[in-house]
Amino acid sequence: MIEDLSFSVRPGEFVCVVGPSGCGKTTLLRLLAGLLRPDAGEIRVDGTVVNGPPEDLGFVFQDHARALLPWRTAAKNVEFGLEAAGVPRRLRGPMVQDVLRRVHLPDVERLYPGQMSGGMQQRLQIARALVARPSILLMDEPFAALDALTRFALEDGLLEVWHELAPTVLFVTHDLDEAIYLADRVVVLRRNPANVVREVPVALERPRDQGRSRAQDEFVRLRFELFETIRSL
Amino acid sequence: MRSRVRAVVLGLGGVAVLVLGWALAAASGSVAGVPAPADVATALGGELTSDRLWSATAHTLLITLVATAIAAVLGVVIGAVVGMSPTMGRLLGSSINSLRFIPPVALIPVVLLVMGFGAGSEVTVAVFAAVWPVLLNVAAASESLRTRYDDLTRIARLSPLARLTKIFVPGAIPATVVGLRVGAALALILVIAVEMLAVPAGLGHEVRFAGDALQLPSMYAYIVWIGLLGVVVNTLINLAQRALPQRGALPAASR
Repeated sequence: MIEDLSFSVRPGEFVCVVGPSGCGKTTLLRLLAGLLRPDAGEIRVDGTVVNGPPEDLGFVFQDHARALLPWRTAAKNVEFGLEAAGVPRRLRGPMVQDVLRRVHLPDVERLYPGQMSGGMQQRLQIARALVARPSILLMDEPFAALDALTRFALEDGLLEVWHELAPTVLFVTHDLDEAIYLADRVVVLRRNPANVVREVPVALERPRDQGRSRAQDEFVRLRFELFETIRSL
Repeated sequence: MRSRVRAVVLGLGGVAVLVLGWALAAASGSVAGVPAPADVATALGGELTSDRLWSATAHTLLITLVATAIAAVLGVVIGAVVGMSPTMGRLLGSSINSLRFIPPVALIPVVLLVMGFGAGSEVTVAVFAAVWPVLLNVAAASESLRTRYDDLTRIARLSPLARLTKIFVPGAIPATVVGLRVGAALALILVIAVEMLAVPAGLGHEVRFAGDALQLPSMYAYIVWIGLLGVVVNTLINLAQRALPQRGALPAASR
């Protein structure tokens, strides 16, 4: 489905990937994460061939039910990311506290995911993905199932932790507004064969603001441009 | 608290109605061979002070416990293997599905021929009955955990051992306990059945023995006692299950 697709992402950059459904956005992310193997050819990140999930990578899934462990408390779910990375036990506590504070989830350590709202569970997933400080964060439509206000809050929270911890973020979404609001650059994919049609830099200043950024002429212009591009595919 | 009192009162009321119906049926003489509840109660009182009832109870419960323990180990191990590995699932799936529809009582003659008229036969038949609920529950839970957390465990680069200790064991505990509850009840029923049919020991044998001797109040006393024992065992398992940390169980439907 995907053939000869290549684009570059600078370290620390926030790139959003949009495209019509079925264009292989999720497949692309899974290939990069080493969850899927290409039928032919190879996947390279930083010049290294991806043969399986790399060590230095965080992944935020769309469906938190598939990502959080319901028998672990919030803190233990975050700690899972450190256990897996082999971080010694005595170092984990402070790291968990720190990342939970950064995603604005203080005082939830003892709650189980089932006792938390959908938005809180996605914050928890982001905390888990970031706790080991990966240099690359892949996100697969993480806010698609949330209501608009919760989504705004999570977008801002994500931009905050991204600003503080500076991972390279590749964020797949079908929401053009979300893509423009978050990204340094929006990559548009097409399908059959999947390919990069356009790369649109976003010149909106940071820090961004849900009200003001979205009201700027640049935002409106970008949305029009992206929309026309996707419609013409 | 009030609703709890209400539940107890209603429960006892149900039992009272049942006993009343029984007493009326016995008094009317319309059902032959049914002694009055009062006679059965007297007989039960007599048996409760005898060694016979207690040694038979100890025998039956011990056999049930041993059979449930063996079924638990077998069910967890085989269930986990079947659920965790698609290859093993396909390899063993059809055998499991044909074996589990064999009624355990149908095995009693075969088992008696092979193992003789002793405790070994009781355990074997009871294990065969009790293993399925455990095995099928554990297999379903492991398979659901495997598919659900496949991406997560790969991103986290978990070793096979870590997968077992961090995902499968904690995730499959609730399903295992449910399987064990059903399995233990089945084991008790089958142990008593084997005792009634062939093995001269335990509560099943006492029911049969009293019946053959036409001591009907005594026979009914043992039957009532077995019923009470079942209630006690079930209550104990319920309490044990509640004592387990009430952690978020896996939502069963979303696979």
